[in-house]
Amino acid sequence: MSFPSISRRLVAALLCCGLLSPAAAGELLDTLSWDGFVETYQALQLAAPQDTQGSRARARLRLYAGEGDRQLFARITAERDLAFEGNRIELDEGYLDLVGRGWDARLGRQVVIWGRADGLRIVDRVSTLDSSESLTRELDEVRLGVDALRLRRLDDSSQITLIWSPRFRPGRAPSEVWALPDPVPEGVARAGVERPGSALDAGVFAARWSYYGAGLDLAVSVLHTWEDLPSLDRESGADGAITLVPRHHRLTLWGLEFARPWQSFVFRGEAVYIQGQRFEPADWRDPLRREDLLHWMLGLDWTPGNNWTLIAQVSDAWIPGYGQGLASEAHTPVLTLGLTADLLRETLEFSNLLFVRPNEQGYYNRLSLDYAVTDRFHAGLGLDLFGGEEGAFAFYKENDQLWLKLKYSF
Amino acid sequence: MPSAQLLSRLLAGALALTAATTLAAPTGEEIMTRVDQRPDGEDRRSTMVMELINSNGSTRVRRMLVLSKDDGPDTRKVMALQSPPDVKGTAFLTWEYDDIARDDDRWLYLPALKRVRRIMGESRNDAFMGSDFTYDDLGDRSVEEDTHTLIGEERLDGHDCWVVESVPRGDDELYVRKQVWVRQDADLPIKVEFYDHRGLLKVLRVLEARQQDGFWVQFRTEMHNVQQDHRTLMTIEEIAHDTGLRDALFEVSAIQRGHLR
Repeated sequence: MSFPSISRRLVAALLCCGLLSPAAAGELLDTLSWDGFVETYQALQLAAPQDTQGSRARARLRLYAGEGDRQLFARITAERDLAFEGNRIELDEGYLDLVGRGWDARLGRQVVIWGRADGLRIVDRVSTLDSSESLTRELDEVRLGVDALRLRRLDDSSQITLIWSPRFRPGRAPSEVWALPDPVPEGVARAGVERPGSALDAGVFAARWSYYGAGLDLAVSVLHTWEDLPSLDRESGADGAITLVPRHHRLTLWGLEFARPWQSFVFRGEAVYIQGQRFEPADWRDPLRREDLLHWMLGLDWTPGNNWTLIAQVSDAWIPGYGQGLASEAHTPVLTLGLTADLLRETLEFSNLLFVRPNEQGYYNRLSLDYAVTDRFHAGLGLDLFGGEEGAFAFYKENDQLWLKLKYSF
Repeated sequence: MPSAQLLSRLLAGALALTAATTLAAPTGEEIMTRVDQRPDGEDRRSTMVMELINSNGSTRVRRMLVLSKDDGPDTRKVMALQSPPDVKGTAFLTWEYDDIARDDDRWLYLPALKRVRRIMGESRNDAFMGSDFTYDDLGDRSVEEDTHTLIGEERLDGHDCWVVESVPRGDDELYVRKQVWVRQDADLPIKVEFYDHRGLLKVLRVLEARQQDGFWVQFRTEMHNVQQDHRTLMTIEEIAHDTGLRDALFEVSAIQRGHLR
């Protein structure tokens, strides 16, 4: 499908929905422009047998049409996975923006990103995640677009946002290389995944008030959604045998965010209270446990000068009603430390991000260098290192990898 | 009239003339205040191209849309990158305060992240996007942060200029002094020499300045870092003043849409 062809289809769809007049549609197409990139990524396992853990070629196209108060945007990605022989071409985003005095609206597939955390997902739960490569892809690459209507009431420095997505889009589970061990022994019967239905009340609903003003940013939100990945419900048959039923459950999340600058620092934080999240039991034969969860993060950004930035974050997922019989602990803290520097007149970016899970004495360290060979051509080199006594980071010990990325933007 | 009386009157006249001349010459601080307060309209919309040229002649180009609007003594500014392609759509929103004791408010929108992030004010001595300009050089510096002394008058590029020396009042500054040539007919700097502890560091030359919409604009400016032999050429491709930019353009909600490209 050619670029203009995709754009024409989008415009045609909007015409059918009665959102554009034929004249407005023609005007949008007249202003069509595009950009994007092609990229290749290779990741090699450091330990024996030194398998290829990632090998892909990717092309992304961004289309823009319209000006002023009516604009159309589409982001399309074509990917060929050479390591696992998978191909995909997907409309990551495709939406129409309408802007009025004191309001705006966005209709279509869109990525929604909330929150103040870096590399941690706390309030940011509207868009689900593609976790096929676990943590090793940038967070901005793995958010899945939601098919939604977003309305905003804009009043000076504050906004009220309402989001309705009629159809929940589940997340993607880790691929074979990055799959974590199943909490249930092999051989236990497993039913097919039960996804949320298509009824009107099975959608995703969100509301958020946010303020961006002198010396302070604030936001409060509520989100009524589904679990990204299904929980494994236990169902007993007449013979007492347990069948696992992967099922998405409803979640309601109450969020709070803030950011406050002071001299060369920014203090930021966010917290979410999740009602009735399912947790795995310590004994796999027991039913899932429903508990509320408070997940919070406090962070500090420091810019000492010369294009260096240091970012520190502390977070904890706390189960206030914690009791015996849960596979997880009452507190699951995560610490992160990030260091970035733009060197050589901002042509070389050095970045190191360290995740630490104290409960498991586990760590994940991502070191990367990105060099702008020219304004359009970038070469990246990175190292992902995992370690620990238990948990996901310990499990990924054998997945330490060196990666190379070449990217040409057009 | 006795000759002594005539001489006395001539001397008195000469003294009065000297005093009048002295009074007419502005002080260094007055000149730099006039430069700082030179009229530039209530709002501005411009497209700017920055070429970074190294000693081998290799060039990197950054192109951006810049919107700004006065808010009393303060200024609100949006800068959106149009190239290079990998950063296209990145936008900065800045609320700059005239009060030097008050930190500016700054937000960054990254199109890849689809998120607005509160950021701290860059160190004012940091280079602006890898160029030879610092944030201070681009006008973020207040007049009262330096001591300004008028050290002479010169004719430069066909214009009568005041020559003002500016020395920082505080410590920990990048420059130990600056020498500024200001056009007398326009209150417009057309050359600046920047000195650090090692001597001459950079030279700024205004290559083209003219009036647009009734306001003086430096259309082409070159900053040459003589110590690194690196140059930055800044060109304003187009600019419009007082077009009635709406206040809503200078709120976070505007850069969040990602429409500024």
